[in-house]
Amino acid sequence: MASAMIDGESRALAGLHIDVRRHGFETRSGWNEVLRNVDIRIGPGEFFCLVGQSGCGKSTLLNIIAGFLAATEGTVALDSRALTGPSNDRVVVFQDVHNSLFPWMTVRENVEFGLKMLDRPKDERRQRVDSLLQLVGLSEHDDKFPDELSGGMKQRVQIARALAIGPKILLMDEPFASLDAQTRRTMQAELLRIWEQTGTSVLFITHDIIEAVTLADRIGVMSKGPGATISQVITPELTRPRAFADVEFTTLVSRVEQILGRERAHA
Amino acid sequence: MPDLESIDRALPAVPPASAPRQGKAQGQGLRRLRSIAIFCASIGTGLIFWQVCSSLFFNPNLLPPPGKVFHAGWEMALNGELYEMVSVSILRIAMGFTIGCIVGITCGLLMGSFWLAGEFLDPMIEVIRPISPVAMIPIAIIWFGIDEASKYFIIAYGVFFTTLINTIAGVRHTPLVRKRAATSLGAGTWSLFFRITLPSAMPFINTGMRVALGGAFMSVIAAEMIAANSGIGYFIMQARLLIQTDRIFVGLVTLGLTGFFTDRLYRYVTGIVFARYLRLSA
Repeated sequence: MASAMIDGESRALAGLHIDVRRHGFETRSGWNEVLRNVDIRIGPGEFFCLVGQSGCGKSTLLNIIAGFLAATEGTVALDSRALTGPSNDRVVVFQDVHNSLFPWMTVRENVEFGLKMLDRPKDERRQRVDSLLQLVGLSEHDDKFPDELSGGMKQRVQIARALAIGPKILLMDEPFASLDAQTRRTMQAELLRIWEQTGTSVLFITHDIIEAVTLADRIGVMSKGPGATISQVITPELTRPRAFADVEFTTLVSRVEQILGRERAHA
Repeated sequence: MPDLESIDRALPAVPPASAPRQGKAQGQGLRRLRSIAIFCASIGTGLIFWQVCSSLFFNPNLLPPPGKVFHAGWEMALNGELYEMVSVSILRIAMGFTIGCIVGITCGLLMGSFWLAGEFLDPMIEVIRPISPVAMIPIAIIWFGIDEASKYFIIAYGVFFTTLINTIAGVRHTPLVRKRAATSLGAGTWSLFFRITLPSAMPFINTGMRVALGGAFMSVIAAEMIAANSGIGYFIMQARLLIQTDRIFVGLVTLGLTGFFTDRLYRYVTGIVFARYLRLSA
């Protein structure tokens, strides 16, 4: 009985718990509050999308979760363990692939980087990198350098590199925003396939509502700053793969749009 | 030949150069052939211009024609004089350049990485930097004598500042996203420095070293003219005392060619050794 209870309790606390009471910085004209009362839980294996307008504080929130910034007041916990600083249990996938991939390393070396940091033996590293390159469909490009790849391929490398060390959650900061529409759609489908195969939780930040509705288990709609918060969490009751042509899909898109629009009117 | 060297020198920190991409073999071959043709035409035109100036507009005793200079040079090549003076100067440059690079790059990495060290040493460096290596010759001779040590010092002094400034710029230009990506993947302080910051600074360091090599040629000649008994600079000065203009020109042409080939060699070697670090960022 007791063990079952503990089990049940730990399951309830598993996943990422973001509780940022307040975050901001001092400027010459006074306190600039970026975030206020952001409280989200992302369960194990969940795909959570955060939508909000440009400049509302989405990336700031992601930087806090990643550990690059410390919240002025509040905590971030993973499996009920408070987090301090960056660590490889949550890996970031950046929008800026030009700078986030290491240009002097081949695709293989890029993907291998996190495993090297963990001092994994060479054989294990090779096997792991092989299987990840296969997962993202880059097996034949393993000895190329990033500047020889297309935008979509670079983003695949970044995803493989992040997944190589088996993080509990992937933090994706508008990863497909700079890709062309066609590639973006392909990458969204690819990401869902990879997510389903690996079972890693994903926190996906975007300003593209259609992208959020296509991908998410739940969508957190972020209000406009200063003092931005999650104004509403929406759960799309749609089966995957989701088609833009569906009535339910478009209804949901306009609902999110409405919430964002209301926010705009407030500001 | 356009004076690329002086354009390079005018820039304090040059943005990363790109490594040549592998293009289509045929197109590349053609381009190569064209650039060789242009090179030969340029040098040929220069020689003709020199010949015309010498025989029509100037006193050939003051501006000896190319033929006479090459004749004098050929004799010097045969009796070993040419090899002697070139090897002495090259060796001095090699030593001074190596010392200057090691000290300059090391200090640059430290100053770029540690905010306090950078801020604190920066004013000192900025005040000393305008003092050219040539201005340091008198004190270098008093400190180190007229032998090799003073030459090493003067060359290393100039190389130090050029590599230092460029290394600091390189370290500071490491993209934040790149450092964050590495940290996110589990890189600690040391891994971050050696595996990310240092490679990211490589294009800047490389440019700094190349510009510094050009500077080393300037300072070694000045040092040899003022106080030395060997080397290209000393040779030119000796020829001046005897008003042997043809031999002066042998010295000047040798200097130009040595500098040119050293730069080519530098680019060739670093193009291979540093190839992957000179790639464009993704």
